[in-house]
Amino acid sequence: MDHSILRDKKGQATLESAMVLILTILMLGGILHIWFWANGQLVNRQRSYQASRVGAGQSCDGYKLVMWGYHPEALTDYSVILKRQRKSGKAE
Amino acid sequence: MEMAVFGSLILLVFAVLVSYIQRYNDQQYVQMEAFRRALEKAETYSTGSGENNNPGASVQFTLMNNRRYADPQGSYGKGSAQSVSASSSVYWAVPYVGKTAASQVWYKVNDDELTIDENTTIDKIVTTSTVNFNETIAKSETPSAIVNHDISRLQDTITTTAVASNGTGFSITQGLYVDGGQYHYSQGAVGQRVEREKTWTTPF
Repeated sequence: MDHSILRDKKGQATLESAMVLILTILMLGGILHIWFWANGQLVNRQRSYQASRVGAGQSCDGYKLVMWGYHPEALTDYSVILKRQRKSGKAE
Repeated sequence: MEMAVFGSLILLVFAVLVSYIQRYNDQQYVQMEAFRRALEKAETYSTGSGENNNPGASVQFTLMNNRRYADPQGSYGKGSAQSVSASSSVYWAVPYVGKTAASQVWYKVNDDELTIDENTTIDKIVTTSTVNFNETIAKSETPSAIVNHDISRLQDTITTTAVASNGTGFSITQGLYVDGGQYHYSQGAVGQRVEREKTWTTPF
């Protein structure tokens, strides 16, 4: 015999789904932010690459390998978690 | 139950996305790098001095990088081996009248660069890999917490062989090492072992 207090209570599945949906959406939000971060890297690196084209194509004495010098910003907890409020209370 | 089902699916999709973006990122990077390296080789090529100094060259540069990608299904710190490559041709030369620009063929396999004869035709490139991996997981329980300690040791040796029709290809053996948190392969790192460890505590 099941003594669960939740058994035969109406709306349990709806309640559980609602709670899980919130967590699922939060997780999706984090994943989207990681995706945007990775996508932004490609775009910004391409921009640096294009900006260094003229220098790379100019012949000179002592010519050195011209790379584009792009360093991606680090992926932090803050970039992943949906725009949370900081302890100071200021939202970003 | 719902979270277990949805969460697994979402994490699976996430793993596929991360894998895709990582590969796309690396592919774009090697294409850009191959072109810039070809430019450098062409611009800095010289045959001697004075009249014989033939400034510039026609260069074909091939870049091959072996990477270890994040693998959520694999063991800790192991990753999965992948390879990305790109090739670029640059003609950047101002040869003297009556002379032709020199032709150069360069290969850069991970950290090591080499040139081959311009008349050599590479038929195929074969890569073989030997991986030694072991992982030790220790768990200790105290009255106040559970402490987990995970150590993984990875040794990867890759041999890249370029097979040429006239038998003058190349073969290069490289080992895995870590620099700045990134995995690299180099001839100087053959026999090295990459060790990673993590400890986490779950208090009661």
